[in-house]
Order: sequence, then C-alpha cells, then structure tokens
Amino acid sequence: MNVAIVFQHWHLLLTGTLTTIGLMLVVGTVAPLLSIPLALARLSRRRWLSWPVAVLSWFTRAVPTLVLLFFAYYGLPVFGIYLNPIPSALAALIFSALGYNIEFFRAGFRAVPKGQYEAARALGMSRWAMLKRIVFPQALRVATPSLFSNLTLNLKGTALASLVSVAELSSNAQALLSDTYRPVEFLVAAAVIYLLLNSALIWLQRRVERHLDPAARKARSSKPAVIKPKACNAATR
Amino acid sequence: MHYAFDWSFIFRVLPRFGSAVAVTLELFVTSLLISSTGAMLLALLSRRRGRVIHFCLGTFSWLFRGLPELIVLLFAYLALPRMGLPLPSFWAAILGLALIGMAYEYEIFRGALEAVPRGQFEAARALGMGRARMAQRIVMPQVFRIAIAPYITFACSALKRTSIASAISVPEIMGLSERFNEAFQKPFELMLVSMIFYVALSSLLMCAEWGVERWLNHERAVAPHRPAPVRAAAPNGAPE
Repeated sequence: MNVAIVFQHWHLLLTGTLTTIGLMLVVGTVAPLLSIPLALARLSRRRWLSWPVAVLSWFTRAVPTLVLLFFAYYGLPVFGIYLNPIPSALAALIFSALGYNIEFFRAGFRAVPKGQYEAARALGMSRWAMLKRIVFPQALRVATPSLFSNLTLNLKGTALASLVSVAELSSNAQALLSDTYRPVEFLVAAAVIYLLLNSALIWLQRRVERHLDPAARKARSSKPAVIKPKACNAATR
Repeated sequence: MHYAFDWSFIFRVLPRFGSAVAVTLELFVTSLLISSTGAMLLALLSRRRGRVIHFCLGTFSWLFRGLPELIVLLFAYLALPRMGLPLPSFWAAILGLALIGMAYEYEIFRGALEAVPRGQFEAARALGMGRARMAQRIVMPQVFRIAIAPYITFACSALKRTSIASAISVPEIMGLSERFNEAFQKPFELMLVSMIFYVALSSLLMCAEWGVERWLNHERAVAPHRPAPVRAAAPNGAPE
C-alpha cells in the first residue's frame, strides 16, 4: 500500500469530491421540492391527479438508477434532447429519487391528525395558509428522517454517474487507478471520502432533527414562532 | 437528426435476454441467501453483551450502508486480486452485494429482535423451554412478522442494485443491453427492454410487499378475537 501516491493526485480527487457534493446537493434539494406538490397530488381525491403520480412513483421505484442514467445519457438524444453529461445525469438522479421522496411526504402528510385539518378550517384558514402553517411543518418533521436516509442513497447514487462519463469522485478514482495500476489505494481513498461525506450527512441530520423537534426548541429559544414560518416559506416556494 | 424507432428490434432482441434475466436472478437470489443468513447470525450476535462485538457490528453496518455500491463492487473486482484473492466478476459481484445486503438486513433483523418484548423471553424460560425451542416457537415467529415488510422492501432495492454488477462486466440485464448497444447502436430500444424487465421483476416484489402488508393488517385485526391455534397452524407458534 502506497499512501503517497494518493496525495500526489489530490487535486483530481478534490475536484471529483466537489462535483460529487454538487450533484448530491442539487438532487437532494430539487427532488424533495418537486415531490411536495406531487405528494399532495397523490393524496388528492381527484383520480386524474392522483393516478398519474401513483404510476410515476411506482415506476421510479421499480427501475434501477443505472438504467435511468443510461436512458438519459443515450436515450434522450433520441427525442432530440441533447444534454451534457452532468445535466443528463442530474435529470436521471432526480427522477430516480422522486418516487421515494413522494412516498415520504405522502406518509408525512398522512401522519398529520385529521383534527389539525379540521381545527385549521374552523379557524377560517385558507387552504394555502393551512398547508403552510399547520400541515407542512408537522409533515416535514415526520418525513425528515426518511428524507435524510434518502439523501445518503442519493450520495451513493451519484457514484453511478461515473458510468455515464460524469467526472465525479468515483470516476476520477477509476481514471487514476487505471493510470497508475493502484486499485487498492485509490478505491480506499474514494471510500474514505464517501464515508466522510456520509458522516457529515448524519451529523446534519441530527442538527436538523433537533431543530425541528418542538420540545427541544422551546427549551432553547424564546422566539420560536418567528423562526418556523420563515423556514417553511423557504421550503415550500 | 431523426431517430428511426425500430420496434421490431425490440421483439428480435427480447428472447436473447433470457440468459441475462437468469444472471440477474442468480445474482439476486444468491446474494440474498448469503446475506440473510449472515445478517441473522450477526443480529443474534448483537444480543450478546460486549463492547468490542457491538463496535465491530456497528462499524460493519455503517461501512457497507455508507459506501457507494459501485466502490464496493470495484474493490471486490479490482482491488481484491491485488490482495491475493482473485475472484471472477460474477463472484466479486456476489461478494459485494452480499456484504451490502448483510449490513441492511442486519439492521432489519436487529430491530425486529429488539422489538420482541423482554417478557416473552423470560416467560419462555420460565416455562422451561430450551434455547432452540424458545427461538422456534416464541421469538422467531414474532421476529418474522416484524421483519417481513421491511425485508421485502429491502429485497426490492437489492434487485435494483444487481444492475450495478454491469460495471464489473457481469452479463446481467443491464450489462447485456450495454453490450448490445455497442453492437447495434440502438440505445432507446435497449434501455426500454431492460426497463421492461426490471419493472416486471420489481413489480413482483412490490406486489409481494403489498400482499404481506394486507396479510399483516388482517392478522392484527383478527388475532385478538380468535383462539391462538387457528392462526398458529402456519408458523407453529402456539404457546404451550
């Protein structure tokens, strides 16, 4: 094992890591944002709204991410859509994360007790205000752990983008190992970086969950009411 | 550029995927069998007290749930030969998939074991049951009911995960369609074919998931009103 060789090529690993982080952040924000309205549509009583979303969610959960990546890379040009590797990989990764995110938000919305809806309506809130102030904050708290564990899956999924020529961490590691014939060193290096990113996500999850936990927040801060609606605004729009 | 959809190509190529579907299923079933056995043993091991055991189990689970599948498979295929363990690509894929699966299933089984109330163990022991009989009649039937739904959900993701074996040149569904694509340059049709196969296979598992959930809900609704032996006939779990 030759550790020095890994440090000789640190810049390629670093740029790869940054690309990986970027991919993960875009997928991890766009997919949940898209899936909130879709989850609401899935829960709608109108069949023409809920059925297409149900099919979409089933389809994205049934097809491997890799197939979607190849489809976006090789298949989209067939429809006259020519994307660079990174946007096409992003489209595929977001699409494949969509199904699970829809299910998480759906579970979150369903976990809000019926009485909350009725009380909000009894107070004369509009549908939008009810959603924003009453339902969404509670649903988000239920969905947060699953959303974060899905973020870990997204992180691992970005590694597959290396197979459709996106120069992210595992792709750079593969290029380096075939240049230097040192598979052990570079795969271990990539593994360590992925585990560090993963641990950062777990740390972030703990922080966010503590932030969303009403009991802990009441103990900590004197102005909880101001913080919450703002956070919600940002998340729903 | 206008792309000519060649629908007849799909029907021509579809029968050729038989062997690839077989490879996918072999990967899936073999790695699932190995990982389930291993995970059950690890979960039983986690019942023991001891810091070292718990640290090792925790690290194992964190490692293989945190690493990208691609890195694990590439390591098994490219790095292990350098470390004196040359594996053919199929078995490298099995090894990687089994280790990843074991980490996830370990968490499922451990959670299910912990969900069995302590009093059940104590009551079984108080009735003079031996370890084997307690496991067979009291513990495992309960673990089975708790773990079955997440286990099938996991199996569904494990099935999709086999597609990554194509990256280490295992000729499963995805691997074969990539090879065909190199030969025929028909990406759209070939991706459609592999989508069809994956959707069909995972839909089977999703139906099983749905069925099991219905069965469990039914059982929960019915159980309190019926004498135990009626239900217990299947898993052989009636208390003596």
